[in-house]
Amino acid sequence: MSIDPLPMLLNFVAIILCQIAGNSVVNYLAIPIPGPVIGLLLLFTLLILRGRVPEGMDRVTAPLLKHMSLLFIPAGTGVLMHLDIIKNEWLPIVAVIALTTPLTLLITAATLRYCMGITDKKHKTMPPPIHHDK
Amino acid sequence: MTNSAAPTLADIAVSAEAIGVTLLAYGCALTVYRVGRKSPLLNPVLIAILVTVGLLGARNTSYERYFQGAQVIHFLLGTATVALAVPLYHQLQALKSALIPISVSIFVGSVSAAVSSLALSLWLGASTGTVLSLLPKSTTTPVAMGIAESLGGLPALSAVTVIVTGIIGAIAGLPLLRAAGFHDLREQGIALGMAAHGVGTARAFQIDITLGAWSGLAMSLGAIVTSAIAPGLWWLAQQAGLG
Repeated sequence: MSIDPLPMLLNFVAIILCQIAGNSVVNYLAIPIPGPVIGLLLLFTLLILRGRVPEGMDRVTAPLLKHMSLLFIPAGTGVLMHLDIIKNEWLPIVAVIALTTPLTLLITAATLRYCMGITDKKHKTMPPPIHHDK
Repeated sequence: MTNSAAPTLADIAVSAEAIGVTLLAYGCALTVYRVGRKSPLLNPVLIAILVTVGLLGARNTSYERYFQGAQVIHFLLGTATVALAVPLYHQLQALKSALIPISVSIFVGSVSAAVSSLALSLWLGASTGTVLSLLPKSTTTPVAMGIAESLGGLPALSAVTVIVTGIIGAIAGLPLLRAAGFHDLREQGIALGMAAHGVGTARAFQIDITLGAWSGLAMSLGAIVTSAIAPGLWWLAQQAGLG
């Protein structure tokens, strides 16, 4: 089983073209939306139109997504430039994160329950969580 | 800064140093994460950033020089964001099974995440840069950085607040949801992905595949919806004389 590199390359080029198209749209229309999000929507639309994920695309996207943490490092390290802000404003930052995250969790879960009419009649319908790690 | 078309030897050296430092930091972070049994507290991004800061300090390299050299890696962050369309497409069946409830939940969740964060940070007197960096904190890191940047916030600060948000959501999310009576995997998954993005989704996949799938769906859709509503919310806050 040899892996044909051509579909992978073409898929990679297709993804890059979606990225460039997204950035161009955002720049041209001067809208404050991240270019890659437009690129994501473009690729998603293309996949729906095509009706399946083309051969070789998962092999391109899987390593990109698996190692996404690596890709955050250059931008994230820029926090070096903002150490004074963190020093001066750590209290509002911590308070906002600590208070609004639980709020968002509960509001989202409650909305889905309301819309789907999920009834929490008995807990035994839910299997206990299975821990795959370890 | 280079104006010539072809990269010079000096440019290549800068890139080699930056990419080497980044890969080394990532390797260290993954090792710590694995040794620590993938505890959410040992988030690889957070550790990798700390190691990179340490390495740059030790080598006396400025952040500007480092970022210049690491541009290729930064570009691929945008590529990976576009690639999120593929797992989203794989969740198409789950999405179709409950299109309206999921859409409404994600919309309400995105609005509540952004509005609560905007209102509280303004009320606590945070500076504009901090307010805008906190606003997208429930979206996945590359999108949050993009939102912060396009609104005039600080992408790097938003990266850190996003990661901390994800860690808190991943640790406290399920216990909180269970205590509040949410025992359905779909409810838990949507809430985790909405509030705690990729870190919450990674945690969800450790527990159950359905939980992870719904969480991933909420993460992708939440990022799209938040991108769309963030400029409008910030405009409203400014019109109200708050921003």
